[in-house]
Amino acid sequence: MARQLSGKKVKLQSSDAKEFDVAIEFAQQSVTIKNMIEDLPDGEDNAIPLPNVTAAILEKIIAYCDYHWHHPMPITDEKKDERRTDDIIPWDRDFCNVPQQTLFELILAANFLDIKPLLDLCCKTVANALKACKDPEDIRKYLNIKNDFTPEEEEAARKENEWCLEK
Amino acid sequence: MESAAKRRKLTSSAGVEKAADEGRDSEAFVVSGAHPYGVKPWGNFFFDGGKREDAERDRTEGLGLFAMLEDDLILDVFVYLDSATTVANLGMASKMMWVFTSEEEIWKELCLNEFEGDWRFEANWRRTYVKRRAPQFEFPNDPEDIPFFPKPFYSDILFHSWQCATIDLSKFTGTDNVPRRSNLSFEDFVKEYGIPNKPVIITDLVPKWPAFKEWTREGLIEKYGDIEFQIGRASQKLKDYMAYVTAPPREDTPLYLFDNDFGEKAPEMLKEYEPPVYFQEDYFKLIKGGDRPSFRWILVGPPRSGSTFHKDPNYTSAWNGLIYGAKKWILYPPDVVPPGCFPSEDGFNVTTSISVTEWFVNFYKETKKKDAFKPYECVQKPGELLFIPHAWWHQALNFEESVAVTQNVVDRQNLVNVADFLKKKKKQDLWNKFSTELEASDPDLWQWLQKELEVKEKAAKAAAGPTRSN
Repeated sequence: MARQLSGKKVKLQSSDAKEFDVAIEFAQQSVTIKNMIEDLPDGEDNAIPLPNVTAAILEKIIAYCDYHWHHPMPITDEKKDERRTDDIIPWDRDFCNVPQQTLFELILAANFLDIKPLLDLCCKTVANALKACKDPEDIRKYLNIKNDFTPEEEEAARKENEWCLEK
Repeated sequence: MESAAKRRKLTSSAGVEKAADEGRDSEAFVVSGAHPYGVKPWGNFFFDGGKREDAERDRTEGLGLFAMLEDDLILDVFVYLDSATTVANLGMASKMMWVFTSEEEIWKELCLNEFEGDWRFEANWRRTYVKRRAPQFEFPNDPEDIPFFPKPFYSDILFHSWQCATIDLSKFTGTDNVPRRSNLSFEDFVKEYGIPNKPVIITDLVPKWPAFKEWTREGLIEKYGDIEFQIGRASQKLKDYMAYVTAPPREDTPLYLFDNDFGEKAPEMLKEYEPPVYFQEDYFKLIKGGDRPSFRWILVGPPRSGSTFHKDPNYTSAWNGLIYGAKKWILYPPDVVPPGCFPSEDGFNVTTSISVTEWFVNFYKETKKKDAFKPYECVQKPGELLFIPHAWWHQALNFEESVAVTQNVVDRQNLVNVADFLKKKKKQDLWNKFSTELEASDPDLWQWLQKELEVKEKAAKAAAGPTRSN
């Protein structure tokens, strides 16, 4: 798909004070940034501060917006399809092949920046990872959760959920 | 062998804080006991005298990486876990996770997605899902029991969700200022309410309907129990739905049976009620078959079900006859936006994600403020029929199990507005069909309508002011 960038750029500033010069088309995939740009007085060249997003995460998000601007995905109208977790494209899968801490930082940033496809993607990835866990201990390891059940309580909770094993 | 895990009953308020209202303004409302798992709103934190770091640490240990997210975002992410087994495993990771994954909405979604309407409600949505999926499984405890000693924590979202699901609704049902009329002639109705476009309740029509006697809970189940009615995005047999209604469900937004096809599914029902004499003129009748917009519904719902603020489509007016139960209504005239609502530009769509209960909890008090616009309010009782004038904002809350019939009409009082609206729509098929039929069936009325539309158009142009030449 031969789409042409306008050449117009905006400056985005991460929480750790790093500035990124970004094509406006990429930046506008964030509804939050799009609205901020519209509110900027004309001709202003100041950087848009993003206090909730670190440079490392912002860099990844810009790469995401870059790729997806060049490779637009078909828009799905079906609410059911939005929640499908088995249709992640290879580039997105590689993009999400990061430590879970980073995934959650991406969720936080995508939510703040209001980039729905990215939020969907990261949530689906986390969901798939949790689905792959075979038991609560696996989940605790993945999420770094501390077990605060006594052995008896854990057993009682397990009994409540024995139906999971029934076919 | 006795389990060492202590058990707390969900309904017990023994030794638990009444702190639900502490720190808020004196408009404290009564909540039925305290949150079963000891969840408190952050507003309580100041009074509890604990350390912020301790509460934060508890949250981080209990939720792990999810602690990075706000509670509502956590629940949003859970929606992607379309696997009950995963939700259950997640819930066994920690006590806090157990509470988060016990939210009714999660299990309701799982149930509806996997089974649509093919389930029978059992105490709560988790049990309903499990019963449907593993019918042989026997829960070791009662629904009110918790298999472990709860560890209280703070969450505005979870507390608010529970509060809306359990708050006593009767505190919102005091005000009633809609006039009641009986023995009202058609001419008087048109003169006093139709033309001025104002609400009124007619008290002597519904009791004459056979439905008023026949449509009891048992009567409906007996006659129509096996028919599948629309309950949102699924269909379900009425007898199964009634089991849900009578449980009763403890949710903020219960499923509501709202069926616009009941006349086709259960034609007998049409013989058991009659549109009131004031509303028998309905020009949309001229539109044949499937092209006619939905115009009649049967409504069945448990306490807390209802419809949030909206205007009825296409400028139609409506009437609503209550067979049994009790409905609280709030009505605002067309040009006054109700508190907490953000209408679209054409005024017809409202973006509000809050439920009816939430509106009452958060916004109802706005209507009581000194300089606030006072809406019409009423508590519709069995046998009463409410007239909802066209383009009025209205909201309805069933605060008892309720059954009602409602229809929308296009009559002489709103015909001009309806026509004007349809003509301006992007999609013209409805206008084309309607105008063709109307002109053919009543040429005089058609002429009158054209004149009125011209007058309206001129008035609108005049109000808009001189056009700029650019």
